[in-house]
Amino acid sequence: MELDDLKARWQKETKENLNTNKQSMEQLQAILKEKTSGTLINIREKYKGIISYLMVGLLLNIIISPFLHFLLGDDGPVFRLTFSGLLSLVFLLTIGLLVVLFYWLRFSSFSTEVSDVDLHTALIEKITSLKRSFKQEIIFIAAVFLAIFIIGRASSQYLGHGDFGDIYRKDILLAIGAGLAILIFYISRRAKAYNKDIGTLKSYLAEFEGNNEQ
Amino acid sequence: MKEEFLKAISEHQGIILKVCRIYCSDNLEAEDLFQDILLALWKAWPSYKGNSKIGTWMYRVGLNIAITRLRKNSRTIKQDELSSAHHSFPATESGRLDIQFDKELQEAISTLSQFDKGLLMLYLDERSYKEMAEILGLSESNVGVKINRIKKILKQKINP
Repeated sequence: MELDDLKARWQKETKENLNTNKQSMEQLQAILKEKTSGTLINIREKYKGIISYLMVGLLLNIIISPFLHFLLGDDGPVFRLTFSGLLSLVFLLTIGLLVVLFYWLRFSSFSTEVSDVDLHTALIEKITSLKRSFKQEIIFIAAVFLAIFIIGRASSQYLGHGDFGDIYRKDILLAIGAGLAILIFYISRRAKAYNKDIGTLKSYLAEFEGNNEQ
Repeated sequence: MKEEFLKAISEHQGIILKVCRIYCSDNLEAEDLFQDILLALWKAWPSYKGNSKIGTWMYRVGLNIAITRLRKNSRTIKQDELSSAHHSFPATESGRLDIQFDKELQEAISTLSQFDKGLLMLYLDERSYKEMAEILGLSESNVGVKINRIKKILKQKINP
C-alpha cells in the first residue's frame, strides 16, 4: 500500500462513516442532554458516597457513645447530649462539609474547563492546572489535619480535659501518629494519581517538542 | 444559542467522527469520545468568537479533548470482541456509532504518537499547512518537517 492509497482509503472511509453515523440535530441534542445529565449524575453519585460515609460516621458516634459511657462505668446506656459531645459532633460535621465543598468545587470546575486554544498550549495549560490542583489539595488536606489538631487541643483545654500544650500523653501521641499515618497514606495515593496523569501529558508534550527539534 | 450551535455542529459533525476514528480503536470508545467532544464544544461555544473558521475551532477542541482527557479506565478489550458486541445495537439510535475501522489503515495509524495521529488526520483531510499550524500550535515550516517525518515512518510501515 502506498501513501496515496492510504489517503484514498481514509477519504473513502470518512465519507462512508459520515453517511452511516450522521446524527440529526434532534439526535445531537439528545446526546448532549444525556451527556450533561450523565455528568451531573456522576458528580452527584460521587458526593452522595462521601456524604453517606460522613453521616454513618456521625450516627455511629451518636449511637456508640452512650454504650461507651456504660462500658466505662458511667450512668448506663442512656443518650446524653453533653456539651463536649455536641461540640465534637458539630466540629466533625463542619470539617466534613468543608471537605465535601472543597472537592465539589474542584470537581465541578474540572468538568467545565474546556480549552479551545491550540494543542501545544492546551497541553501546557493542562499540566500547569494539574500541578496547581495537586498543590491546592495537599495544602487543604494538611490544613484540615492541622485544624483538627488545634481545635481538638483548644476544646480539650476549654472543657478542662488538659492543657493545650500537654501533648506528650500516650493517647494524644497515639492519635497524632494515627492521624499522620492516614495523612501520609492519603497524600501518597493522591501524588501517585496526579503524577500518573501529569506524566502522561508530559510524555505527549515531549513527543511534540522532541519532534519539533528534528 | 442552542439552535445555532446544533446547526453548526450538525453541518461539521464529520470532524468529530474523524477525531474519534483516528484516536479510537473500537466503537464504544468512539462513542465516549464523540459525547465528550460534543459536550466540550457546547461548553466552549460561548467563547467562540468566529476569529477562526468553525472547522478549525472544532478540530482544536476535538484534538484537545482526545489527547488530554486522561481516561481513568482505559479499555483493554480487543477491538474484535467489542465490535461484535457493538453490532447488536442499531447505529441509528442517538449516540450509537458504527464506525468502520479499515484494518491496514488502523495498523498504520497505531504506529504513530498521539500528536502525529492528529497531524496525520489533518494531512489526510487535506487541510492547509496554515490551518494545521493554527490547530496544533506549530509554525508552518514545522508542519512541513513533521509531515515529511510521518510520511517516512508510514512508508517504512506499509512498505517494509
